Amino acid sequence: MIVDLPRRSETPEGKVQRLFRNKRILDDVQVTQARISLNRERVRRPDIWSDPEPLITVRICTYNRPQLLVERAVASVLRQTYQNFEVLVIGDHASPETAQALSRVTDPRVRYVNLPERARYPNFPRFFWQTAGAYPALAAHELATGEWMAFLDDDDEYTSDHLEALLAHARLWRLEMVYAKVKLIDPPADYDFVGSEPLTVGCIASGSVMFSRRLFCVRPDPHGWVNDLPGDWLLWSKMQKIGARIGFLDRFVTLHYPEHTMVDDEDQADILDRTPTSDEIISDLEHVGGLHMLDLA
Amino acid sequence: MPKLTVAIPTYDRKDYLEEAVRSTLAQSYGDFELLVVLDNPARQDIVDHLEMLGDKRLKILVNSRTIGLFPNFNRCVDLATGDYLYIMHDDDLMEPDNLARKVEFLDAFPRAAFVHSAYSLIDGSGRITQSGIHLADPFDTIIPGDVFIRKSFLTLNTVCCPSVMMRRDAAQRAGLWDVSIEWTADWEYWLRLAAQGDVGYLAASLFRYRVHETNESRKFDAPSRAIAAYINCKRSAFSKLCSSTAGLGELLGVAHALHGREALEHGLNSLASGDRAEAGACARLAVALLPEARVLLEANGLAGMLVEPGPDLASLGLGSNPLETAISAAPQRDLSMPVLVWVGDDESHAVATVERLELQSVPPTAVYLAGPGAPGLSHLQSQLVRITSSEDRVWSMLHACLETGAKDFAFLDAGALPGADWLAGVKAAFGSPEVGVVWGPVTETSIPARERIRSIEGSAQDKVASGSFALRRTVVEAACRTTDLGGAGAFLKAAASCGLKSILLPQAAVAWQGGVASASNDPLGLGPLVVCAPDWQGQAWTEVVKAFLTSDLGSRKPLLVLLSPASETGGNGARVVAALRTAGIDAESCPDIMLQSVSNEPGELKAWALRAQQVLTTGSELEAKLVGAQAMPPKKTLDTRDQLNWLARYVPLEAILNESGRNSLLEVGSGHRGAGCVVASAFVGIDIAFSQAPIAPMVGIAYDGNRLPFKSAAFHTVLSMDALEHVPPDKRSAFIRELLRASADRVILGFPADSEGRKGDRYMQELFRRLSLGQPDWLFEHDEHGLPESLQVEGLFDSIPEWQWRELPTPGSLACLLISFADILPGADQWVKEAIRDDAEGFRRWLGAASFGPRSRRVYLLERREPLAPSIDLDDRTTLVSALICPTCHGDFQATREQALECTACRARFCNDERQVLVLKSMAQVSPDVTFLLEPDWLGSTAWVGAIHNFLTAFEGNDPCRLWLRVNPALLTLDEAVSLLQPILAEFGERPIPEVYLSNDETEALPAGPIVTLPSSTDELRDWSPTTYIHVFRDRLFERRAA
Repeated sequence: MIVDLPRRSETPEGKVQRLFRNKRILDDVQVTQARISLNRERVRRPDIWSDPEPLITVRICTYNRPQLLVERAVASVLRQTYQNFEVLVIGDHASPETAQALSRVTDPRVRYVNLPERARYPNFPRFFWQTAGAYPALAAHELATGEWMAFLDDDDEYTSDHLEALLAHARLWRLEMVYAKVKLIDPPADYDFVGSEPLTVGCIASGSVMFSRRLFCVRPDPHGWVNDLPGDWLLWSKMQKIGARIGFLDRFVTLHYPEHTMVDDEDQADILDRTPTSDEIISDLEHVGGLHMLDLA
Repeated sequence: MPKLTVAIPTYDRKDYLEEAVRSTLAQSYGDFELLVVLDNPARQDIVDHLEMLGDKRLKILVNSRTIGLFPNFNRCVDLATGDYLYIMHDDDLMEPDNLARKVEFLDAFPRAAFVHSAYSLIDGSGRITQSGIHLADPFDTIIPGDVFIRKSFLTLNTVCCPSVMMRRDAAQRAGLWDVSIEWTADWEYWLRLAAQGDVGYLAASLFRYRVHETNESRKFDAPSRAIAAYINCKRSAFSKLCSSTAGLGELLGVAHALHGREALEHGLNSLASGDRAEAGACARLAVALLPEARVLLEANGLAGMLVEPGPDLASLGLGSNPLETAISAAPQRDLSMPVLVWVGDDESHAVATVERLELQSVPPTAVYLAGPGAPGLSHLQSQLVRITSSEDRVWSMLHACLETGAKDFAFLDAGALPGADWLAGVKAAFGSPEVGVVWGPVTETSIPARERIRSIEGSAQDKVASGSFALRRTVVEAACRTTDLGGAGAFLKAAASCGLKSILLPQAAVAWQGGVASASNDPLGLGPLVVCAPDWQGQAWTEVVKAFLTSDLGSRKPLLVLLSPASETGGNGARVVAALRTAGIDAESCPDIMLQSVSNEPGELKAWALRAQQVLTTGSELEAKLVGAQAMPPKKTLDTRDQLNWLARYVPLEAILNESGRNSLLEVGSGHRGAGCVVASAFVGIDIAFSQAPIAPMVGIAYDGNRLPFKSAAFHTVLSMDALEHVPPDKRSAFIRELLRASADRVILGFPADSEGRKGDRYMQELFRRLSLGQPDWLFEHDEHGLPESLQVEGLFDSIPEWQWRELPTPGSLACLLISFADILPGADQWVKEAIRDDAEGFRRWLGAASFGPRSRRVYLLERREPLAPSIDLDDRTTLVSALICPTCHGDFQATREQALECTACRARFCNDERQVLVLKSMAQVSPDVTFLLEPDWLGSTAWVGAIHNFLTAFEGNDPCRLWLRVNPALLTLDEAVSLLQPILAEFGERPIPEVYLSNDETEALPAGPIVTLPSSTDELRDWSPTTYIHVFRDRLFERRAA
């Protein structure tokens, strides 16, 4: 039974204000939940560092970039000095070419899962950029079997000792999450690397991160766009908030290539900086099915 | 006199020296003198050789005896006469434009203390091996000296020594090169020089640095062998700089942490390369600089690195006494204050303490030793430590330390408790009750070592970045970790006598359940707030109450807070009243006792205690209750405990409210304070709900928001400020008519209105958002109902012939906005209130003069054309009773013997609630006592958040319903459930919310009355959103009431 209640008249601005407030409440509750879960995990298995050869899940989310995926990204994982890994490729409802390309990789450690339908992302360009890939990421959290998870973009490349170096650093400092530097190929003039201490937005690239299963309780948020922050940063900041043991390895472990993205194609850098109107936010909210966030009166 | 002095200190490098001199003389810039200062009287041949060059700018000076490298540098500084000074190395070469570029730079930037540049490397034969070497950022820059210094802490030395041209007067101010620093004297000198002005950098390679077999700096290129010694040099260089240069003291901690970490990393590297001796030296240094390094080493099974005994380790006495444990566990920030150590009988503890404190990663700014044992510790005298046994001296030390800007201090006690007099003296010395007390021993917390390092570095770097080192945070918090009753009592006394505003002892309160008697022994020594959890059985607890009440408490009258299980608060309240009555005390005259509903269940008690503690430290709710509990004297001065926007609201009406009809004033929508800001005589405040007990002289009445429960023309004046906008638009006309009906003579009605009011709201919303504060309820309500339109309201006035109206002047938008800022911006109100306290009259005049420009609030005065005589005179309270009408049947009242009011018509009875508010709500509304039952999916989907939020939104504190939350004890503790509720509850601030229960016992009986089970599974909630559900229920409930 759905009771249709005459809702109070609410301006779009008021509605958006309420949305922001509700998102903050829900985020705070989720962070508290994750903190509790993390404490449970720490008690359940105090030592995650002694296992001589833990399985590491390398997560690659992809969308229609089969050649780079196989020849650059997956290949760089397969030639790692540390070999106990699984490569979990999640397609965001990618076209069949991706499956075909991956079928030529015979290594049994490579798994490919394609989402049955394309997720609905916000239309507003910055929100799209912040959120795209959140659903495959969420799926990967469910499907990963490793004790550790590392992220790789489908057009980037690991250094050959990527997993070994991050794992060693995590063991040395007994970390639950470790990140390092990413080297930019053909970088903008003013910087060559992304990744520095202290952990703040813009100072970490997800391609350099590895974290323990303990932190799987922090899950990618498909509605992170409401916070107007990049999805991966929300993940790291939540880990920070719940008191994960985070450490930085001061060297580069990943190469980032300047491939074109869907956002570049639109060539609308100024649109990325624009402030959305309340109506645009509401319309995106309806579009992606996030109306439940307005449940809090 | 030449503008520039170039000086070349030299010893015996004849060939290279000639090249250096030639490259100097060949500069494109010519206005300089060139001093060659030969530190080797035996080499007259060098003098002769150079004189052959025949340039009259060249002067050669020979020291009469060899004095050494850096002393010779100092001699160069002494001998120089130019405005600028360039100390050239005898084995390097200048590019032709070197001097010209740097002179040009110093000319252009008069605030620059020195300028340095990029360079090239050459080998022994002068061949360039590498060019464009930048130690700093590769741009031409000029940065402030303090920025340069802070950057230098976080990076390596960024100055290549022979590239520097400095301003000679800056060099003189900076002092001499420190010859006692072995390796890093140049670095230390640049930092000191940077303290004199800005630092410039030129990105062009302006000179050539020769790398050859006999480089002096060769021995500084510490190979892996001597890194520990090298870091130790750096450490002492920084220590000297920090202690000698004003404003840099706080950086010492950063330097220690960074050097400790550097030592640790080199130590681990050395271990990896098999050099155990060096690894051990590094590890010991790291542990000395950064205590966490020990934890890290131990956690990684590397504690063996520390085994080799070193003299400094032996004296540390690590882990040997509880005090030391306390220090190492105390939050680092607390140690960046001065530390007082009370030296009792056991001097060895104090010795270990001082030594350990000096090595803290964030050491205290000073350590004061005082007490009977202190003189025996005179051998500890160092830069950090001051010792005295004379109490007078302690105070003068404290004053000295206060002058450095420190406002907090930590007191660490070695076991012997100093007397209350001593602490009172401390308080006097600080001239402030806001003294932080860290009470040891604090239990060791098991923060992972890595996190602690990070947090130390983070906070230290923040400090550097913000450039503000004065710790202005004041601590009003006393943490007592003892369950020992005697200790708790002694602590209470000491803390109270040093003036701490409030004292909360969560553990001790629990311990007192059996031992309440000791609280009654000497209530005089207790602070203004005593928390006690009686067992409520038998009569023992009443002795406490009686002792408390019958003591001569004088001006330091504390508030006794009695904790009571929530379910029995009503009964216990009656017991307190009965106990008072048997003691012959009138409960009404005894506002010093507060009954706090809280379960005896330890988890809930703890949650309450934590919240109260939080409130105490932020000084809001509980303090307000404390204030409210004290009788408010009639006053002429403004009470600075009131919110500033209240003052802005009422002060302009001060004259008109006090002028006539003094004892016959009704305020509608008053809240707990209302016109009490400016009115000293009794008045009636009526509101839908009271979040706190009404503050005297207000007499509080709660009603249902519809008809005022008074006969017509009962009051001389009826006042309503900022209430109309909270009334739904369709009820506003009725609301105003009710005001007029209750008034015999005049009505004052004020409310935010029109577009100007909405603009103000938008500013406020934006402000709350930017401050990341939750938006308060009243702002939401403005949005919900929309602000009134003044034209409509005036139209209504015009339509009522018995009344005439005019608008009263009121402060304009600008003043209101400024005042709201002062209320909202954290800490701002203190400044403003201080100003108001100093000149209340000036503030009144300012508000009066501020009625210019657009105004967000409209205030109207309505007067009856033919005034009536009010029936209420509050000097005679019986007139109030006879002017009340029953909210249910509008009948008259009579007072009953049980201090209740009974309707003579329908026999309904009404009485005061626990806040001393007379609740006059229609009986028809009080009956359905509903329990909403919900078992949230605590750790799963967050759909239940909406259910709880909407319950709290839909109902208010006095509504007859409750939320019963089930917790499965196998999944979640009650503490965890409370932590999950915090983000939801936080939104409601101080608004009174309906009762929420947490139950982890499924067999527990639910309260009587109807039970409504809220859907808890996600799927159910999807179809039936909690908003819809609860609001529909709410509407039904209220509809029934209305009918």
